[in-house]
Amino acid sequence: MPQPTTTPVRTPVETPTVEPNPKLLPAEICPQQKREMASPDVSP
Amino acid sequence: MLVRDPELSIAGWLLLRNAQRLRERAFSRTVEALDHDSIKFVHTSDQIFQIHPVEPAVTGLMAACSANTWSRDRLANVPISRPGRSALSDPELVPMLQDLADILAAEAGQAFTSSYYPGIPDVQIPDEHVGVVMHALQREMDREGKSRQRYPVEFIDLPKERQRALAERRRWWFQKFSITPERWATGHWSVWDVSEDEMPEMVPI
Repeated sequence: MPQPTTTPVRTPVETPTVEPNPKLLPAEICPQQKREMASPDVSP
Repeated sequence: MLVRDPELSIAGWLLLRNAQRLRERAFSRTVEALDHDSIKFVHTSDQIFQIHPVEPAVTGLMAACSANTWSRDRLANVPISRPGRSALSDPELVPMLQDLADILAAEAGQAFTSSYYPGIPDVQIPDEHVGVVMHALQREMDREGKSRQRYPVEFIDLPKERQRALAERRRWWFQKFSITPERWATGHWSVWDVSEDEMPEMVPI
């Protein structure tokens, strides 16, 4: 019985993807900006 | 808090280190200076109040301030907001309400990131006011996004039920700091009516 031949497989090279800049979240802003974001001019 | 908030006095900073509950923390942030047997507050810094604490703790200091009619009254009438710092900025909460600001920012973030984000059943808010609140929250995010050249999250992109939940939670937290819609109209809050709950875990301190 003939030996099965193996075909060398070329591993595809992945193109590095550029991570999109994550959106700015409220937790990332500074304390003074958080006091502004609380919007005390708008009724609770 | 390893670095002192520039709005916080040294006395307030030391007190805050030993304050666990929302009311104690709000009180600590009102303290401008402590002297031999007197205290000054941030919002009435031209007035000195004689106090006689009997317990060397934040709660003891609060009890002493409550025993003095004038200091008790000043702590029952603290402004909610102050004008924006420039023509381009909006009014902001006074620094004594920094915990409220931190909590609301954490809540606003969780509206985008939490898998479960329910509203508050006891809080009723009209649809149009939910929209007003979302617009107000977006103002500062847009301004900061421009200065950092990053796109901010968009509150209007949240599902409607999450927008409503966020508005309800905002009202609920304001109320924890004694600011109901009726109180808000007066422009003042009271340290004595702040909740005695502990700081929520979602806000790192």
